[in-house]
This record gives sequence, structure tokens and C-alpha cells, in this order.
Amino acid sequence: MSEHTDTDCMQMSPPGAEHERLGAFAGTWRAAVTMWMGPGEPMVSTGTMVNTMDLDGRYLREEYKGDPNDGPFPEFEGRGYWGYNDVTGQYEGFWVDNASNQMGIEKGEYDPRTGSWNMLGQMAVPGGASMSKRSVITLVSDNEHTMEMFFTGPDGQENKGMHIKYVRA
Amino acid sequence: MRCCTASKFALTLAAGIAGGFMLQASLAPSLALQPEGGEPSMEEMMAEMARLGTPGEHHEKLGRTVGEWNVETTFMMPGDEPMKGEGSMSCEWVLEGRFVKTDFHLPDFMGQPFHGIGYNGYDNGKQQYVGVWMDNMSTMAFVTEGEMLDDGSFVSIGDNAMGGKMKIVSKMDGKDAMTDTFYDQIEGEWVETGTMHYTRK
Repeated sequence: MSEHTDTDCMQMSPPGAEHERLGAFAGTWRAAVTMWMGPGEPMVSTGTMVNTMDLDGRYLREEYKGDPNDGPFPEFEGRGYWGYNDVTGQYEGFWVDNASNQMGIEKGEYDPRTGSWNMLGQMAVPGGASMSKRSVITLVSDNEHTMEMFFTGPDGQENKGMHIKYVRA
Repeated sequence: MRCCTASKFALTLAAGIAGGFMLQASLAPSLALQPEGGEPSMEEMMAEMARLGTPGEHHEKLGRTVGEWNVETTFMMPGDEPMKGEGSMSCEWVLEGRFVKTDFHLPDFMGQPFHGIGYNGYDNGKQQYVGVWMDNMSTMAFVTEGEMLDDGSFVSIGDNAMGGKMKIVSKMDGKDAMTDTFYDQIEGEWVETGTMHYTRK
């Protein structure tokens, strides 16, 4: 046996400064969602996000509930976990909701110059293809943050698909 | 023609959908991906998205773990006696039958309380079981792809923290007992590292 005991192994990944940074998102937030579906006016919806630090400070747990609406998803609900992986040195986000069967996975970095996270992922589209997705999450102040989502098609052009403004409730 | 269909589609969605981040977000860019001449109609596209977003028989199979369980754990310790533990697991459907959420607790795991959270679902598009596991002993989430074998074993495989693969084989023994067997891939071989025996409360 090496000098590293198994107990050491189990304790070698305590949460650190990268995880603490996610604490700024804890709390209850009102969300204003703007979505661009192509030509024409964007769609606008609202909802509430409740964020809590979970697993002893390792993850930010996100629970989103859309306000009741007349669309095909009158009770939209989603939940996510956002952490920092000490092994890969990257932030990781996981997202599931009741509008799809996909598990969204994003990985990325925090940029201290801009106060933003740049998170990259893939999203499957009908027909079996997938496209690149990029989320930019920015802390505007203690009481406001934004999430912008961009998609890159096969032509390599990136388009903004969504903007969410969160204001502390 | 392509442009026209796209904008008509988008307008219809805009009028009809007010929620659903993932669906909306995945529909908009997909319009640009359709090959010339092969573009599906708006109705076909809507039907496909509905099909992809609806839980089905594969999801139902995940339901076998839903409920409250006692668990006994055994982990192989190299050069030492296996380490035993006891705890509980609670599994529930969330998001209207799309994912099973697992909460796993060992009150005393090497002197510390262990808490794990898992989500398991089935991606109709990928035609594959998908899962993620997170716990308070690591900052590395275990992201899995799963397969339900003909013998009823549910096999999940993902990356471990050592740059290799980890595998969990979950087998039912009737409806009220099951066993998870853990393996690490070491020099190309699957080596058993532990088991968890569950009995329904």
C-alpha cells in the first residue's frame, strides 16, 4: 500500500474556490426568457428559478418552473446541476426538462475578465444530426445574471437563440 | 421554398409555444439543417419532436427502481478486507416519467455521511439510456450511457477519475431485490470493485 490511504482518496476532492463562485447564483430568481425562432418577433416567456448549493457545496442545483401558459408545455419544468470538475479542470452543467428526453451536458470555463462562463455542448436535432451549442452566463450584479444561448449550424455560422435575464426575487 | 417553410414553421411555433427551452431551442436551428429537397413538412417535424419528447417503453423499464430501498454495500479494498456499509436509496419519477431521480445515502462511509444523486433517462433520439451521477465525495460527475440487456441486466458505462472506464451492472432479483456490481477497466480487463445489494423497504 502507498502512503495514500483510501480515506485520503475519498477526501481529495473537496469543493474549492471554483465551486464557491457558483454560490453567487444561489437563491430565487425571476426569469424573463426571449427566444428567437427565426424571422419575426422573438417569443417571450417568464418563470422562476430556485437555485441551491447541493452535495456539500459541490454543485449548484437549479429548479426552473415556467409560469402557466397556453402553449403545448403549459407547465414547463426543468432542473439542472452545475459543478466544477477538479479532474478535468472544467465547469460542467447538466440539464433535463419535461419538453424533451435529452440530457443536456455542457462543459466550459470561467473568464474572470468578463465575469462570464463560456459553456459548450451539443444538441441533437430531428434526423439524428447534432449541432454545437454555446451558453454564456454572466454575473451582472449580486441581483442579476443573464444566460445567452448560441447555436452553430453546419455552415459554421453562430446564431443567438435565447436570452434569459434573471433578477433576484 | 425552404425559407418560406422555415418561417411558416417558426411563426406557428411562436404562436403555439410559450415554454420548453430545449424543444424550442432545438427546433429553430434544425430548420437550417434540412437537405435541399428533403425537408419535412411542418406537421412531420412537429410529430417527430413530439415523438422524441415523449417517454415510452424504454423509460418504463427504468421504473423498476422506483421506490424506497435498504442497501448493503461491499467495496473491495486492495490488500485488505472488503469494506461493508449500510444505507438507503430513494428513487422517484420526475419530469412526468422522463427521468428517474435517485437519492442515495450511507450515514457512515469511512466516517463521513455519503450522499449521491443520480438521474437516469432514455434519449429517444440517440436511442440510448443516459445518466448522470454526482456525490459529495468527488467533484467529477459520472456521465453514463446505458443498455438494457435481454437478460434484464441494465449496464451503465462512463469515464472514471483515473482516465479509464467504469461499469455498473444492475440486476433484479424479483421485484423487491436487486444488485449493482461495479467494475473498473484496468489494463483492458473489467475488474470487480464492489457490489450493492438492495431490498425494497
